[in-house]
Amino acid sequence: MYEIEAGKNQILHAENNEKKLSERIAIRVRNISLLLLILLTIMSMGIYFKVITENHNNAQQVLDAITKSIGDKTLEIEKLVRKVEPVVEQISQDIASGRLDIDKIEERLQKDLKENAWMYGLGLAFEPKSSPDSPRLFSRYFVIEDDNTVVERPIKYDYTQFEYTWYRKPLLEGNTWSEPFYGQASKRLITEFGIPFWLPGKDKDRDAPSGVIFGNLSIDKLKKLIQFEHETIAYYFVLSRQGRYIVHPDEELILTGGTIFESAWQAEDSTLNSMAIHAVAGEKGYVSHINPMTQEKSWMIYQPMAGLGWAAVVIVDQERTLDEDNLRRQWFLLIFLLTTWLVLSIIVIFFSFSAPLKHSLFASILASLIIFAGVGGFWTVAEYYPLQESVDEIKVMSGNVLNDFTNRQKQTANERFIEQPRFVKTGVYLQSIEFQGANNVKISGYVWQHYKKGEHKGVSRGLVFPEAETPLMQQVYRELADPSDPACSLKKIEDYDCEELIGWYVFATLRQEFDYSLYPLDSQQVWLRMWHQDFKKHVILIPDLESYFLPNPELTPGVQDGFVLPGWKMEESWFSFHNEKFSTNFGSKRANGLINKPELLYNVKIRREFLTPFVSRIIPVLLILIIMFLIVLISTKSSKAADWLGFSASNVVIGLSALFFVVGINHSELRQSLESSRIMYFEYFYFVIYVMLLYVAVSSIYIAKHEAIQGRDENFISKTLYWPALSSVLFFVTIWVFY
Amino acid sequence: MKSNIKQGLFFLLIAVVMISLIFIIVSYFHRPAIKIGVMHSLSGTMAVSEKGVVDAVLLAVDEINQQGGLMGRKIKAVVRDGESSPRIFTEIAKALIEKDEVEAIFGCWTSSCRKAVLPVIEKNNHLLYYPLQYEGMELSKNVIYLGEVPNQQVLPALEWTFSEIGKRIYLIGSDYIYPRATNQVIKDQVEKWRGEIVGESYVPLGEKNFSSVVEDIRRVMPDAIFNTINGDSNLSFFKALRESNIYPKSVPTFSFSIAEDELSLFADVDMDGDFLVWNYLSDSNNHINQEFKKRFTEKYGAMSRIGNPMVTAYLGVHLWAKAVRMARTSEVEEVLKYTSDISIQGPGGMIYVEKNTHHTWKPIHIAQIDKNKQLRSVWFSKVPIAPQPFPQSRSEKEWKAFVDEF
Repeated sequence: MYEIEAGKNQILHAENNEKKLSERIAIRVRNISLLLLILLTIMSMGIYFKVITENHNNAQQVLDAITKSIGDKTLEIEKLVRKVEPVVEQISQDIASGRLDIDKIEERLQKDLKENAWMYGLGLAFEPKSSPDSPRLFSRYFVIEDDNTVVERPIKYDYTQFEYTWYRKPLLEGNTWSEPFYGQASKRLITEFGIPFWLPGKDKDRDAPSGVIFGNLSIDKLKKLIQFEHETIAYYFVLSRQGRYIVHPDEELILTGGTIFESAWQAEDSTLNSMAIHAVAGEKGYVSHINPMTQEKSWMIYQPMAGLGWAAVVIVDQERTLDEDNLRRQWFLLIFLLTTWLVLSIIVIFFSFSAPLKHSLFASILASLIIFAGVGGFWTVAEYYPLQESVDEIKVMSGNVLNDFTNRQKQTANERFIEQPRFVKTGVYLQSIEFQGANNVKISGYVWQHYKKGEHKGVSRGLVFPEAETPLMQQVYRELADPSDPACSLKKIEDYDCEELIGWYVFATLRQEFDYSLYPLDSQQVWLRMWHQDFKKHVILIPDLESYFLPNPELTPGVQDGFVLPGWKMEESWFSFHNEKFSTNFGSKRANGLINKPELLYNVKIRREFLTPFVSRIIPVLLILIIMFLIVLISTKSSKAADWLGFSASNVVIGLSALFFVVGINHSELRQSLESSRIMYFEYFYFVIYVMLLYVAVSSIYIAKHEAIQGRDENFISKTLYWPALSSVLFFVTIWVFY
Repeated sequence: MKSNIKQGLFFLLIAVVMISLIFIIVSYFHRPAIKIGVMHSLSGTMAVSEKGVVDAVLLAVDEINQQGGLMGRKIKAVVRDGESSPRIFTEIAKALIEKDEVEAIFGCWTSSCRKAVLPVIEKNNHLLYYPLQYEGMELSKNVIYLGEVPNQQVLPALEWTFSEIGKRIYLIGSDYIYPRATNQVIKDQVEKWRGEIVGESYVPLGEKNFSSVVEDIRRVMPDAIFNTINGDSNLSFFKALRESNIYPKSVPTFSFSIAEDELSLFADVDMDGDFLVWNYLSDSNNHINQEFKKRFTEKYGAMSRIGNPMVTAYLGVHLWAKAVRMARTSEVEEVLKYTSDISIQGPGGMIYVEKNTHHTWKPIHIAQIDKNKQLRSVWFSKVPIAPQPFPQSRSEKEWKAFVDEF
């Protein structure tokens, strides 16, 4: 009995020693965690302020750059516009002084217009019954057409009515620039400078004016000068003195005389209204704006175009002012620090209790949940700021970039003593995309081309899609500029010289290599590569940007509204050029311009919707991991418990084998369906499962083999560290793949 | 023992936190109301015009309270009757600020009232939301001028008249600063535009006898009459015109101080073809107006018309509330920093309070009255017109001297 007592005492003593040791370890771990926590807190604050400052500076630099470029551009336009004034003023002075006889006004207007061909129209309108030999109203108005011919456009309406401010305002106020308006006689949007004139013998100070002399500019011409370029610019518009849209991506707003105040009213957007007032009041500055409908954050930079009382407003996507890669890394760092901080906090809290190991399982699950939340945070950030792959292409969605490109091509041709390139404007409208397998995609839609007389003489009509398998192209419309032109019906292609627009319906299957390494958080770029049919001639396809109302890539120009692509969402679309280097001249020594020939691509970026892979793949994986954890929980050396639970090493191994079989098939199916040449992100989940399957199997055999030690939880380490280890591996793998 | 003490401390900490939370919650829900002053004439000659404005202010207060008030505090309106007397208004303003400790004042109609009250407001660095159209020629950082100034009301009407009717104008108004100053603006502009002022008459507030004025009008037969008479004198004026066979078909009248809701008082007077000029028309077909009218009707019963000053007064309360939210306090000194450079969507369009002048940008209707006393817009500016408190025909200094002289 004494020996039994002694034995019991020995066991108790051993247990106490072990307990004290484990408590000492726990206290040490807690203290180290507390120290790390403090250091981490200090470090995080420093990093946070640095990041905020950096981002603010980046945004400010972008805003300054854009503001400067707007300022430079507005000066250019103002100089042009101001040139109208002396022309009109001189006519008024010459009439008043008698140097210009009203009978000769027609000649004078035409002469001045020819000498100032950058103007659009020049004219005069008399007050009722003021003209020497006319009925109630008399006016003459001439315009200069695109081919530089001067034609008369009669003003056939009563311009003295209240609504015709181009006439009324100069009479009341003197020299005035009118609000841009759609001229009934001009049949286009114009802005006009008008001044009152007096016939000889009339006193300017005493007598009412005899009428108004006016000169105008076509807004279309000005629009070409008004182009603001910066990668962060979403879009821009120009407002008149009264807030009317003069330049806007949505042509409809311009044609209907829409105003920014109407837009603000309809959108119930008071910030937009306030900004608009600042802009039309001639102020400059910027405001932060959240679109009430889309919740998108942007900067609205406004600057006066002082000569006309107009204002240029540029909308800059706030997200784009920050480097996306940088942002993604900052967020990753933030999530990493936060997750680590929370996990350390849990260790400190739980290890501060007496008998800390009692709560270790609960603490480990809590810590793991936090780490999983961190992984979820990484996924969200990766979805929002995707990894950008650098692609060898020239993105072209604005006139300036396109002009630069065409000029460079002409210059290159000069330098290489080859024929000058002939550019064919080409447009694309996609109606559907469907994936067929991992690397095949079926598309349908419309493609059109403009051919000009002279420039495209002898060029055959049509294009090819090099990556398409048996494309179907059916001509669906053809518009001739001059249907009576005989050159449009010639059969011999060398003589064919017709100005026309041709449209085709296209249906094709494209073979392209997609990168699935980031599955299920991947995005893919589908491109339609186009060559001109005469690909041996120096014919270069260029995008027909004028046919797109809103060429901003984020607004997906050229993609049908309501586009359906199950499992994917549309992100951007744009045109680009890609330099194709040929290693052959296709057997023709006359294949000019083949070397480094730029080909036109129409690109569409789509992003995989996370829900489908989450439900079909991640949830099953999670369930398998939970099942394995249950196996760890029920692994016991106690025969009583083992009987009750049905635990035996062999059962475990059999069960795990079945699980392996399921996981293996899933993995194999994923690989085959996506045919990726690289390890996909999601595959790491499978790798983790394989390792855990092996570990659980080995662990259960070990437990079954060794004797139980009373009072000791034999599976303590496995139970406590199962989830933290798993979640940590996924945590770091996610950082490694997406950072 | 050690663990017992630890546990005890832990529970004590929990108890302290719980008690603090309860205290904070109770305080939050039982914070005192924010008081605002509402001072208008509920008696006297101006009552006919101003009563509706008080109703509109109270409606705005109700709406804000129904949405939870401001920062968890309800708003309480302290309403006082100015009895159409500038002297009484001054006393009321003092009492509202010093005794009632209101955080903002919404009030006044006539410029005499505003001018009398202004020194009190400025001395106390307080805040007045003034809802009426007025002559301009004033700037105060303590006043938000919600109504139209001459370039937003009178001058568009003048320009339209010159184009559509004629250039011979007769001016009639009540004899105080607003009509006098407004008419001076008109005279300057008529001269610039080579028109003609064919007559100019002023009558005391409350005047009922217009026989000599109407005789003068009959003698010169202008193309149009520009009317700045205020209060119930307008009814007598129009009756006198009709009795002398002067009808809108021959001589239309543009009235700048008759609000749409007051037209019901002219039930027996033919106004078919006369004009009003306002930012707000009650038949405006937009959802904001429809909802506003519905709420007004639910609170006050079926109303024949809602007038422009009522709407501006209503918006004034909401503008103040917006400023309070931005300032995160109702203290006047802080709120003053946020009262301008803000826009608000109203039943008559978007209204913007300009930073430098505290005046509002707004679009304007020229509306013609028909035989049923309904208003039809004949011209709408579509875009907000920038306020020019000091009309461009003279310098600011000259206008101030003009006002001072008067």
